[in-house]
Amino acid sequence: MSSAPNPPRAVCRKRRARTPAPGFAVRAGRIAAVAVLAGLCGCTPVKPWQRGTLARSDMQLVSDPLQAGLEDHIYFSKEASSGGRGFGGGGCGCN
Amino acid sequence: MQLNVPRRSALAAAAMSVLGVAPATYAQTGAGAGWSFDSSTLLYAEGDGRVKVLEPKVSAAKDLGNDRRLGATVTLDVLSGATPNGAAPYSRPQTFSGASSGGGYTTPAFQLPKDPNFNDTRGALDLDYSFAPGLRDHLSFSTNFSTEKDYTSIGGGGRWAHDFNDGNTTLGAGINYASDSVNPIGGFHVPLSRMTASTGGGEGGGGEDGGGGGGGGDASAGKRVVDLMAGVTQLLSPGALVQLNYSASRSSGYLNDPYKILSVVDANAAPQYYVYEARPNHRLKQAAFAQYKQFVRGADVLDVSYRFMTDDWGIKSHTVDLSYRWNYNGNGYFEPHLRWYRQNAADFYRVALDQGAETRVQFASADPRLGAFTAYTAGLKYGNRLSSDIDWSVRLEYYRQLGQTTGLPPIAGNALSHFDVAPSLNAGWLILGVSFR
Repeated sequence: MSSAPNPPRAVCRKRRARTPAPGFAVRAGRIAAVAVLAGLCGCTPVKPWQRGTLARSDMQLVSDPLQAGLEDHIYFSKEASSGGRGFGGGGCGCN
Repeated sequence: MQLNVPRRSALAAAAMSVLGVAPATYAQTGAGAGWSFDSSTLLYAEGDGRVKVLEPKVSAAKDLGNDRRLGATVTLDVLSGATPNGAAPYSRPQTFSGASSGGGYTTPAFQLPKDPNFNDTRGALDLDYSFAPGLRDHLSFSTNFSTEKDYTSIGGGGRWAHDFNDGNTTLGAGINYASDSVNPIGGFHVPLSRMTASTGGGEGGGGEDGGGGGGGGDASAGKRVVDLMAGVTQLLSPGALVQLNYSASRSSGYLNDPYKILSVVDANAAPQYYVYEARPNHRLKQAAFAQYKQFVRGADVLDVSYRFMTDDWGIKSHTVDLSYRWNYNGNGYFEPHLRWYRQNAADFYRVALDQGAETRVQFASADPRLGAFTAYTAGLKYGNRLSSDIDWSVRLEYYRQLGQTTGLPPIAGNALSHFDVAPSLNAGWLILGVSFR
């Protein structure tokens, strides 16, 4: 598990001087949420300038939506399951 | 400004992916791009003279700037061929009165009875609009309309995605509602009533009204479907991400297949008569889904996903899907694909009914899609980018469904098991796609 990098000290001091500290419960909740998510993936946050690869069309979760729609329709017509990725529209009399 | 555009595009793409909205525009174009067009055509055929489908789909999208997008998709679906009618095979030819078409047909001995008059043309239109109400939020709305000879569906929904954790995490939620209208050829039949030579709503030896449609006097019956979805997408590294989804779907109303029947057989599996199937008038499906994508070898993409589905008809299923995109040069790719699927049968799935059982059961269906089977898909896709604006692809897949015998009635089960009561299905399809940006 890795923690988020610390912001520069100057920013920290400036923030503490200007805004009231959030309550303990809120702080604990935020830390817990970030810790759980970071712990689940064991990853370092990806910076905006590191996201070129993730923006590729073949790195999208559904890289060919029309093809996915056609095949989801086939599987929905021949099997008893549906759902998963999301839900398409346009019901049909096929199951 | 330029530095922000790719970042926002990547976040928007991930956000929209969570919600099932086509993200291609975000991933590939910057601000100021205009129209994009996508087209995919399916050619599908099953073995044994079964179903054939031709289904072209065309989609147009306009990038309106500021992360706003308007899209429309038109689908045409032309089906023909033969489909199992639910009756069980026997050692003598069987004649049916043709519930789905008005034309009678005879099935040879030992073969799975199939109605050869299964043909229809369906048209569908989907519209969607998406926009970003804030720096970290995306919303989209869609409406869907589909119509065919005996079935109409209209629906709509909304989806919302929220980024946080510096855009590394996206939460998504969506809801969809559809109102369907079934208007079967030959009219409705009382569930578990006997099929007669006439198609005008034959009454038989009792049976209960398990569906929402009522008797043969109704012109149409309704079905409503509500879908809910919630998911999270997490960036794991500059080259990997994972998505976890939960979805639930509740259908209510007329859920029977109005054309499907069951054989009522004696102890020797000889069919005495046939009755129409009966399903519950509600169904709740829930699915948990996980997908992982990883950029590998500096050029390729590994994609693996798993779905578990369970419903209140007693069906549980597992789906594992694996594909590897091999970008062998900057423009072309090969993408092998494998899928494994397994489901068990619905509680009320029966191969056939013993004589008199149709007066005692509440629900029964012999629809092979509600039976137990394992299915394998293997395929290969090839694609190529012709220029910065045009790319095309072709995908060939082979599907094989292997039935597992289950749902045998207590008296005739032994005799029925001598026939192929859990037949396999072979199908192949080709999808041709082309995109213009």
